[in-house]
Amino acid sequence: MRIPRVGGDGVWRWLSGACVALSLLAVVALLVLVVTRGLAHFWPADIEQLTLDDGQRIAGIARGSEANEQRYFTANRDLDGEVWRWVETQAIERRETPPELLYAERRDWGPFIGRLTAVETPAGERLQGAEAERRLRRALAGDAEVTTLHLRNVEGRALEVAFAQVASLSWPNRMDIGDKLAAWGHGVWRFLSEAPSDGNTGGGVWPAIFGTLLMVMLMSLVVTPFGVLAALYLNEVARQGPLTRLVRIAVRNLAGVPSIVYGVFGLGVFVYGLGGHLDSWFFAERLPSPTFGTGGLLWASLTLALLTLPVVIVATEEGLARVPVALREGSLALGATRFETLRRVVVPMALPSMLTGVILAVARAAGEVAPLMLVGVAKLAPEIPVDGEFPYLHLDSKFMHLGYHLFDLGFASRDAEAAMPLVFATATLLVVVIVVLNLTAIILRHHLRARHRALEHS
Amino acid sequence: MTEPSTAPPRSNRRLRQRLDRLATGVIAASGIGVVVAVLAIGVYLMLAVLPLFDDAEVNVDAAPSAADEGAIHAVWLADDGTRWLTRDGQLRDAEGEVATLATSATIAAVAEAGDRQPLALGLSNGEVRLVPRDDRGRLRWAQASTMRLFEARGVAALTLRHAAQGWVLAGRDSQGEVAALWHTDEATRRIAVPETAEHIALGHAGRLAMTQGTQLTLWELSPDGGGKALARTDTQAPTTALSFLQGGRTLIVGDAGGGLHRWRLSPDDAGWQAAETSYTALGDSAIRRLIALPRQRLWLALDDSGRLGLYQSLSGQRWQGQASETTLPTAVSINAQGTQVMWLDEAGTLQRLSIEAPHAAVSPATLWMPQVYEGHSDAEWRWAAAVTGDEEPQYSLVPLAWGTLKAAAWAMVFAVPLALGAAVHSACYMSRRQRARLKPAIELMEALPGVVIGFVAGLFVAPFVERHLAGTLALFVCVPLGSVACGWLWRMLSRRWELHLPPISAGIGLMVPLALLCWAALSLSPWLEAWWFGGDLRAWMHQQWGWDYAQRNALIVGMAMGLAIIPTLYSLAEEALSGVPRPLAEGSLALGATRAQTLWRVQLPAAAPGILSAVMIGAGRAVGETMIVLMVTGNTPLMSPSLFEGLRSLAANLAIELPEAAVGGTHYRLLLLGALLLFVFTFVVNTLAEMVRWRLKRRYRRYGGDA
Amino acid sequence: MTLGALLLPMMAMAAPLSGTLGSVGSDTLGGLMTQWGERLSARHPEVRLQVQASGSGTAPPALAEGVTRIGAMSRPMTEAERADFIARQGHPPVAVPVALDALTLFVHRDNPLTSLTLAQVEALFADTRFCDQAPAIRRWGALGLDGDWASRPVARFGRNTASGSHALFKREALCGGNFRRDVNELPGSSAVVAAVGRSREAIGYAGLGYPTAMVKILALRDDQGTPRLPTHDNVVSGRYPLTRPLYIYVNLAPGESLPPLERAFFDLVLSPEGQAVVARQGFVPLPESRLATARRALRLPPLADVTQSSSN
Repeated sequence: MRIPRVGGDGVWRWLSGACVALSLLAVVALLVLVVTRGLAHFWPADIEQLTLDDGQRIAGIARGSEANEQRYFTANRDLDGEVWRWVETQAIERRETPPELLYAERRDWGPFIGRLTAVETPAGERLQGAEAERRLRRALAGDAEVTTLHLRNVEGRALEVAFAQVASLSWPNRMDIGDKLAAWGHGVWRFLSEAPSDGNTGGGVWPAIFGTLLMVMLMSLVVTPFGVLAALYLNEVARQGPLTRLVRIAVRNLAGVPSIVYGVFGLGVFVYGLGGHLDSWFFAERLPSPTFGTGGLLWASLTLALLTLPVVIVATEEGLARVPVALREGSLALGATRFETLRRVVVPMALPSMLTGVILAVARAAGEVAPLMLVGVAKLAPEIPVDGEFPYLHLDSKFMHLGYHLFDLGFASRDAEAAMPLVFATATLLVVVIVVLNLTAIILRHHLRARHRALEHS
Repeated sequence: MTEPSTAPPRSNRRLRQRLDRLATGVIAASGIGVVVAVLAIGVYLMLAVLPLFDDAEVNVDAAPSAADEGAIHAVWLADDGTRWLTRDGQLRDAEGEVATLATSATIAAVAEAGDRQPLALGLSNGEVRLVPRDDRGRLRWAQASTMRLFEARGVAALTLRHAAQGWVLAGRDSQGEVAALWHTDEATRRIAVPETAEHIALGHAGRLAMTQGTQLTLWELSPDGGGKALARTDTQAPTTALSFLQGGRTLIVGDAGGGLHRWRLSPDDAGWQAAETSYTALGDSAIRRLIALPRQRLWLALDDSGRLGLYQSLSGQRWQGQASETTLPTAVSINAQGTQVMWLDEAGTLQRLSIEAPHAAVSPATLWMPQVYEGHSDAEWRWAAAVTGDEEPQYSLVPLAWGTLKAAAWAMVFAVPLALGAAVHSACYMSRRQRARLKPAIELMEALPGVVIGFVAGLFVAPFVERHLAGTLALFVCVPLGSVACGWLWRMLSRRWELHLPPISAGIGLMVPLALLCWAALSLSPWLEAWWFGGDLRAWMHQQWGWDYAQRNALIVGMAMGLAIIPTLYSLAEEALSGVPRPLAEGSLALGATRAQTLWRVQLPAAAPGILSAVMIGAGRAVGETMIVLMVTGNTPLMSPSLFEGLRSLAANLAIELPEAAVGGTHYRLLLLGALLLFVFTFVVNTLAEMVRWRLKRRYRRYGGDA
Repeated sequence: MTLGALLLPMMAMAAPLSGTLGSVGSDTLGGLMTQWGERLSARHPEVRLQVQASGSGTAPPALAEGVTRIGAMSRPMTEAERADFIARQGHPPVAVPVALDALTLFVHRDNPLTSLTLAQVEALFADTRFCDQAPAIRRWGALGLDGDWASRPVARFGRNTASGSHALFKREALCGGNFRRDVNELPGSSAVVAAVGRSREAIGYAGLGYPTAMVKILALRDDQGTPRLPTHDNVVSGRYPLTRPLYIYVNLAPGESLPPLERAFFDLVLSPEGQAVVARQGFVPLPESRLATARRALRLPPLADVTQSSSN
């Protein structure tokens, strides 16, 4: 190949620089897209009231436009049959944001947009106008009781909603920036703390968060000892030779085997194999209902433990390699056995790197979805697998997982368009969890290196 | 930092040593455990896949058992072989008579259409009785309906098949005259067929095949009582047996010379045509009987010398053996799974065949060679393994393997230049501190879950690119040119005005200009498209080159999966490059070579094996990536190399189909075969890559590098 | 609503229900199952609910293996699946219809097309011609669209093989033929609708309960050539050509009655409240007569009795 004779700062520098820039740019763009859209989901947008040239009235939240049309989220599926409206821009005569328009999330039928006409109290009173709103605000704060809301959409059609049906209620047009921030925070909190509702298209993702956390905890309980021991073997115990090379190749292979193949293995060996046998030995009375013979928390954790084993091994090995040889030799020279040297000198020094490995493994497991689809993740399992009922931790139960929930929301929810913001919110959460875990690992490793460097120079 | 240990007493010494040995043992065991784990995955997959290639087994067992005198005249045999119907209408079991059919005529022919479907009896007086079955498969003799097929003569042969809104019965009388009945809840219509035939068989939707000597005729019957001839051909030898397979679209013809042929009813623009393929013959005796089994398009052939063969429609002969008697079966029963076949022969002997061929439809040819499937006119590679009804499963792994490699290849096309460029930049042009900052960023990139990338690419980028195709393609030209232009501009600026620009890396410095450039390219592209491609690049591509653009295509997969494997590639390539011993590069520079020359002639060749192993490992990743391909492609099992068409990969196929596959079934094991292929591919690639890396490290060490 | 309120105290009188109710199966029914599950958990907080919904095809193996006792299916079981179940469990499964659905064809909202014949559907989606002999349709022009549309290629979207929609579409619209290989197979009904909504040239099929703002539902022409939209009336009467019941299959041996938990579940599903959920999800509730038959098959008390006894 003929190389253009240019100076040191030639074309190649800028072309290769462009590669770095482009890669980073792609990731930044991806993150910005996901996070902004995800966080915007909780922002209480203003409700517009439109008057069209044919006299029709529409109230909704503007959500995008195309050519000469605008799309509005109009809610009220029970009244209109649809939650979206396309409006031609030139057909709009007037645009207002009346302060009394309210936005209510209901447990059935999704959100409502319209006006409050009256509320009923348990005493049978029927309050109207400003009084009704005051009472309702108190009821929302938990200071008063309300049984039924009388609502009206902008076209004037009336609707009664039981107060128990209302998940949240606000008057976004009346909020100032502080209120909106507070409502945003509240929305985020509900997203994090509530179970999904309305066929996974509403509510929060708490069971998925919990399921993910519990699964990775169980996984790290399994993967840590095995990973650390295998790394100790490679670095401390075995003589470097064909056998260690074989083990290293095996580690490399474990890291390279596609995750879906682990899922297949987990399904065949853990679920159908081990699980089936466990059931016939210990849970025969429950058959044909399976206990462990179906995908569940335990099998998912084991499968992912196998999957993340190389991550822990590689990180631990790296840490072990950085422990100065002099320290080992010193310990051995003082008469300690090899095990004692390991336990008292080497392992404590390599502990942070093991921790790094485990954190990286957790981050990997938290984002892995494909194998879980085969070994026990569920679309909906609102009850978390830990409760007051013996044996407290239900290893056999199915669980929800953030990554799978994201997949499910994006591909199988009822209204793909309406679920989109929720998908972005879930993706944001997943990305934040994983970025935080990785940053922790990176910072930990950074400190560790600094410490070792100090040790080497001292 | 270690706690000061008190001097151990001497008596503890043995305990300590034992503990030491124990610990060493445990540690070594877990090291070996890793190897075992890898082997376990491979072995498990292998064990699960092997049964696919087991030979079919047929056990023939003749028992003179239940035969009383009446069994000699049996025309029908129950599934369990314990009851039979005699020619004179008596339903018998081993103890004696159970019931009698109320007719004075004798039963000359019997036809069945499968488990829990009615039974048709052709009588010697030209009548036909249709006896329904209840939900548990028991015959309801009392609810039999009577229809007339022939006026003058009795029924000599009868066939029955389910068709639109009811049942089609076709029969032949002793003179070879053919007639049919289309029986629905509302009406029964008789269809006279002006043909004479020795053998008849009914296919799907009223297709009636007839043979007379060497002539093969195909008719189409219709529910309104009409019918027309579709095709007429000659066979090589006179036909002696005829049967449609499960689904009624493939006809098997046995001839007097022992030949076995398959005729397909394949639609094309010209109408129905018959196309022929031959099977391995049993021998040279005439074929006496063909029995189609209800599953997997399996069938049995029996010839005059008592030779028996088991065949599958596509994979051909699976087993050949000898039936113990040469006499003809009079009453045949087949269980619903098609694993037990029994018949009573003319001597009243009960023959039991137990057939074990659970994966008969799989053979190396059906997996890897193009096949002509029912309803198609050309040999094709097709994958459609999940079937729910009588449709023919299509078991070719080629489209999936193709899709896997295609996705990986396009991903590599995007990822390799970017990742290697980035690695070169950070190894050769970045300071140690800059590199230390870049590495964590790339590691974060590696941690991005596939499901997030897949979702953004599938639901956001794919529709965007479809709308802005010209702009996206323009980026591939603009970005390299733009970045070189930026570099030139930078140098001009800094020279012309002797500005002291901050010494930032080109990589970081280019981010903002590149972002602007991308934005400009995307927003200018509509004009470009209007001016150059007549307003619609996709239409233009179609007109010029006949390329179609699918929304979910390899371009998007390439970009998304490329993004996912860049970090892996980058880390490994960077490791290889920065591991190149410094003295080599320093020597080159000292001899007067430029940085670019040093890079191309010294550093890259030295690191080439490491970069190769990085590329291999990256390819391994790309091959196995599941969620991105699943969410971004349309999972279309196509075989086109086009960048603008979709694909279906082995990994995504596993995620979609494994949960629905019946455990132990053909589909399940084939999916596991797919997993095994993935495993073997990544195993080979990773092992090779690891060996290359190991050699490289040794070489560097020789040159005094620090890797 | 009022009926639900009446039902509640009666349910509460019985011993508190607990245990795990697991369901495997149809993605089309996924939304319904989760909603019914949510309602059941609201009544009986002790009940644990687990719904897996990756396609109807996943239900029969899971039922036959005994991995689940309840399987949601958007199509009836095939003979082979039924035979497998009987072979493993010794008795046939019980199919309970729970709602009506229609296979709906969607196009982008800008698409001027309003209706299709079944032959055109086959020509659009199939490689084979098992129903009719119409030539393949590759451009929108072949469906009578003009202007820009005439030369635009057709992009096809559908469900993956695990789904009952896929199987039923194959059987009913393609007469058991093969799909074109370039029909995009997406792992969820809403993914199909979303993809159609994002591509102007697209056509896709999915269940009834998934319309969004971006797509338009096409009418299908019946035997007489009258275009029929999948409206409530057309689905109940079967005038829309591609209607289907949605089923829940139960592993229930003949002569046995349902365990309390499943009994409570089906009592809910086959009640006016449960059927209101069906309507809310965009499907069509079962007509009263079919509801009564289904309840009888499961030995649930007839609905009229429930209202009477609880109002007494």
